[in-house]
Amino acid sequence: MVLFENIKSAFRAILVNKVRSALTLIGIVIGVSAVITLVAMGQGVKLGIAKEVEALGTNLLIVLPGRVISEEKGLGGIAGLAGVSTLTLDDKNAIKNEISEIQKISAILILSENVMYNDKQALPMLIGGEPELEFTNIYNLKFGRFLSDEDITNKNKVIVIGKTVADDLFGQEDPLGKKIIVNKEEFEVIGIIETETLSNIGFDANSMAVIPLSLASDIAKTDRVTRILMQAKNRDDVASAQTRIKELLLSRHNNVEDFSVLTQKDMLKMFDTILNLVTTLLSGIAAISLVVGGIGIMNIMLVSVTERTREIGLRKAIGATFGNILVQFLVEASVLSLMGGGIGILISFLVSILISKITPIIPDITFFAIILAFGISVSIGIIFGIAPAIKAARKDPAEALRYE
Amino acid sequence: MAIIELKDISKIYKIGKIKITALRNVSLSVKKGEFVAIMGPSGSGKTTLMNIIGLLDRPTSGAYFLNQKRVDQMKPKEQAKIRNQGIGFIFQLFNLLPRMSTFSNVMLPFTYSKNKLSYKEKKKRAFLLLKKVGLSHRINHFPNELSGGEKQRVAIARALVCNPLIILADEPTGTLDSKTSKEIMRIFRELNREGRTIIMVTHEKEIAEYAKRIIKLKDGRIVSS
Repeated sequence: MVLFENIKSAFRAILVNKVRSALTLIGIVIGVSAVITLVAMGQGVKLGIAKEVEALGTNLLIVLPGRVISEEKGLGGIAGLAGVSTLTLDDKNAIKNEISEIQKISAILILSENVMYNDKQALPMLIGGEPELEFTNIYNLKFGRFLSDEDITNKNKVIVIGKTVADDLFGQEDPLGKKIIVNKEEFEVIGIIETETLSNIGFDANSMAVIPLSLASDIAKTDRVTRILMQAKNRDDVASAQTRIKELLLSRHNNVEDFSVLTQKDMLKMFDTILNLVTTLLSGIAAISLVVGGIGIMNIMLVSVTERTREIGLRKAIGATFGNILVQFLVEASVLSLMGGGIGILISFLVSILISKITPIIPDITFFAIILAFGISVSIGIIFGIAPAIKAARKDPAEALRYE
Repeated sequence: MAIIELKDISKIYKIGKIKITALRNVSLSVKKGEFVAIMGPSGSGKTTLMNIIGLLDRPTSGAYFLNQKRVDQMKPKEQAKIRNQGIGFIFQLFNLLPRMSTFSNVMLPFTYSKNKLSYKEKKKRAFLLLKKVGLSHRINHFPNELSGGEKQRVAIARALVCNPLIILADEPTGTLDSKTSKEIMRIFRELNREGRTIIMVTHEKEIAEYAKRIIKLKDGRIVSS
């Protein structure tokens, strides 16, 4: 069929001058591999985040101070991560009492203190927490015990530390039962947390330390809490819990929405939005080399058309129409840029493997990405090939046959 | 039964403000099966005349009838179809595509014909014609491996592949030595004997004499036919 003939003829033309064709392709190869790799990295990070958000636990909700997600698309300020929190312990108790969909709840208060053992110091993320924190998978107790209700009521000076903190302070020693200094007071290590680092969402429980919330509130001299973590009874309860908690807190905060109630889905959406933005931006920059590549193709095609003036004249003399010649050269430009696209994809596979070996990111090249690459390549071929193709198709056969 | 009928054809070129009259009121009639040679000095307009007969150029005025149909004002697509099916070209410089084999070159006109022949049938016809011009042993060679005479014979086979009404040859022996020229002209004569209408432009008298009729052009006019 005609297209097959054109493709054969295109390969013939491209292979005549391999060096020239190779140089022409470089722009497309770089452009396609850059775009595909970036998209794959974005996809990989998204997948990693999705996995990790899921690993946090099931049916989780979290209340943070400040508006993190605004109603319009886009992100509000990530306020409330600094400055005074708008949430209080009473807010948490209100939720506990009135929202039946919630089965577990714990408030946490983030402090910044260093901890010491003998002469070793560490600066973990020190938080005041409650026993029910254990329901979230991130506080995986490996040894000893977690905080108890009694610890909270009696304000016992006990502390649960993460593996990294334990290693830093105790080395090979067994930390359990030992006393470390927090805020000039002695705290007994009652438990050790060990969990996988959630590198994609930037969370590492191994560098944390947990003391009873009541004690933390005293140290910080506040009744505020930094976060409220909750678990709903089951999946279907999550949505209604979110609505009701929001209503409850609104009424408690004089109708000022100075907080955010997030589900795991919301967290995912937030990350996705940021990621999509970054990926699109970077890909856009990478796409510039596609334009350069396309110009390269247009340049070479123009030269090729002039070189083959006699050939065009001959083809028209034996019956080729304007359309025949136009398609012939468009196919040639498209085959050229498709070759570039193909090579670009191969390279992005190689680069992705490299990236997964030297960074924590595991790029994910989806089928969609491959289709995208081929689509981009063909489009570049057609867009940048149209001008030379028209020039070829317009040639007057009588004149063309006279060309030296 | 004129297969070619030119009525009062004129061709005027405009280059900027300068007008060049290549053909002045040329009228000409060629019957089916004739072998015509067109002769004339440079600038006499013979190439322009060939181009018009071959539908590679449009006359400025006048009418051109091919097989009793008026073709000079047809749409470009229709003219392309006629060039494909009705006219076979043979050029002085052969004009074979250098990156294609002999076989592919001969098959080239089929690329642009919309007829219903199967690939097998097309292949058969190409082989037949190559045999006819004595090139069966050169089917897979490339133009740069062929002599001038062989290249012209490939061109002849190509010109015949769609079974055209007329063969147009522009100085077919212009770059060939006398021995090869004679071989080519023998093929032409053979084709004419089989009933093909051939119109040939040449400036060599010995070549023109192979034809049965000689038309002489001078300054864009026919001076003898």
